[in-house]
Amino acid sequence: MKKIKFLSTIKYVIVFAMIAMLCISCVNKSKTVTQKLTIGIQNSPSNSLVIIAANKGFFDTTKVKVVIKEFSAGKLALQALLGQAGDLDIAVSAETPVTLSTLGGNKIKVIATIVNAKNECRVVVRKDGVLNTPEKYFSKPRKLATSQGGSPEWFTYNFIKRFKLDNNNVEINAMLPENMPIALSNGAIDAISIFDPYAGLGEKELGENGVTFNNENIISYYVLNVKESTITQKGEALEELMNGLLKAEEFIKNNAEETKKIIAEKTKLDIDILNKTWSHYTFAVMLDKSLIDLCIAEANWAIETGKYPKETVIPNFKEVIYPDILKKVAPTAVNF
Amino acid sequence: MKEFKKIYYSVLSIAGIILFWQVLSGFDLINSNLIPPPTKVYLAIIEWAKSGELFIDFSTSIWRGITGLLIGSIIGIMLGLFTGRNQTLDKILTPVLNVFKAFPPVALLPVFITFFGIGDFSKVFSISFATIFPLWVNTHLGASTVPAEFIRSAMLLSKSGVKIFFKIIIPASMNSIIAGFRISIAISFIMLYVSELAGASSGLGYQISSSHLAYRMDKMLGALIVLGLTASMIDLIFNKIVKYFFPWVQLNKII
Repeated sequence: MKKIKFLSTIKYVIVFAMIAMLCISCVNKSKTVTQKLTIGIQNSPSNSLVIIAANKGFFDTTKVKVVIKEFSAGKLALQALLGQAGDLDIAVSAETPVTLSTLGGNKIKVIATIVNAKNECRVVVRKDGVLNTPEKYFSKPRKLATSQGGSPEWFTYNFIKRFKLDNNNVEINAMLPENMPIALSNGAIDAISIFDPYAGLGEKELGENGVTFNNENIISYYVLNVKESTITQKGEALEELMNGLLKAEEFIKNNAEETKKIIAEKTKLDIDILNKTWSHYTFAVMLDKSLIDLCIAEANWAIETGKYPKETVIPNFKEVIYPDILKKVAPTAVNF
Repeated sequence: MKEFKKIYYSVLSIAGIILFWQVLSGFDLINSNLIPPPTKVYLAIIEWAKSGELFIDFSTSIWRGITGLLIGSIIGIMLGLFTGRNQTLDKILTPVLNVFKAFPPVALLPVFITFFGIGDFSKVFSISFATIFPLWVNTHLGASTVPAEFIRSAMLLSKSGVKIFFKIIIPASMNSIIAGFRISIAISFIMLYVSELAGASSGLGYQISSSHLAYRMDKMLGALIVLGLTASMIDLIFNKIVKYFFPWVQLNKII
């Protein structure tokens, strides 16, 4: 009888101990809940903040685990974000695809810009004697390749307008950016209108046989796009991501040479091209009202060029911007 | 009556799909930004037609597609007849053709652009390249399996190899050739779309891509539908031609 009682007591002690251990492990887990953020980027210098933050471990906190997925263009990352599969939490793209997707009725939020790039897009042409200005060069029919649905196409429109080129002399061909340098060098096309690194690669391919036309008035932003549901469900993780990007911004300011080495290695770009184009980029986590003005101008362009019918109502782009996350971590970086 | 019934069932099935799609959109069961309702797609097609671009895109793509298909078909059929009936040519050509057959035409597009530029020539060339091999394989199969008694019987009436080739070998291989041609029609339209992504300023494939990039899913689906209908129309016209010129071919037994 005594033996049975003793065994029964042991049984209860063991069960109690197991329950206690389970409860302790649950409490410990809830103290360190790490949220995962998958961010889609174009593997290019314009995404230096993200690349440096990942490389230097600025994203390594207990609250967030950042996974980076690479795309050949930011607009493709944005499409993945909008897709039903839920592959991405954040997509980094230029503002042009954001404008077009908002016009198309898609609901996204822009929580910050991470770079503004001047002269990132350029027109690189095969030399033709003394025809060394845009007006002279395009005074006869030329084939110009650009990347549709993104900042190069917007840049091309502004380039044609600024230099008052005859549209009949500029045959615009849609082409993938990675095919452009080779097509330009072997004469398949006369000109490319594209961002770095492809513009730089085209210049390198042509060497002295090439001429570059700039339009410094055109600025493009690279923005962080998220869905509203991500803001609701992973707000804290997004704040941690912002902190990581702000640290990267500080690092880039103080360590330009090391940054360029890291970016050259990551993007497989020639360091000479990077040195040449580095001054085009201003890396800063911020939100400025000029982004809204740019989106409105691009929306008008999309309607004017027939991408959208004339009756299309331009959305309120202010509603696309979500400044609260950036305001929390860096209030002075928000300017509107 | 049979023909009428066929058309009736075809129209019914397509109408059913469109109605189902409209219902899914109407009840918000699908994301209408990603897959717009049929009514919106229809309006996008009208907008595209009114701008005049539909005619330009359609005629550009038809020209490229059919030219590439015909050139690839002629080459593929000729190669198949040679390798199917001549052992020496078979031993020389088949290993080489098998290597080329394995190259994905899509991956070769940058090479075609390097050599031929981004004009119509490179697009027609890439479509021809892609359509050669299904026809070569099917024609080779058909030509090499012509029953021996057909040839022996023909030789009793004529010793002319050329006559036997045209009057016996080719007609007997028709089933296989036509099967290969119908596969090539589908492949030519796939290749047409891909080639128009790699440097184009007009065409159905170009329109699909540029609409997609501008987040005009309605216009993109409209262009896809036009592309699909065009391929079906060509297949239908081809079937009519086959029925007229080669009435012994059993079309209902080929795909």
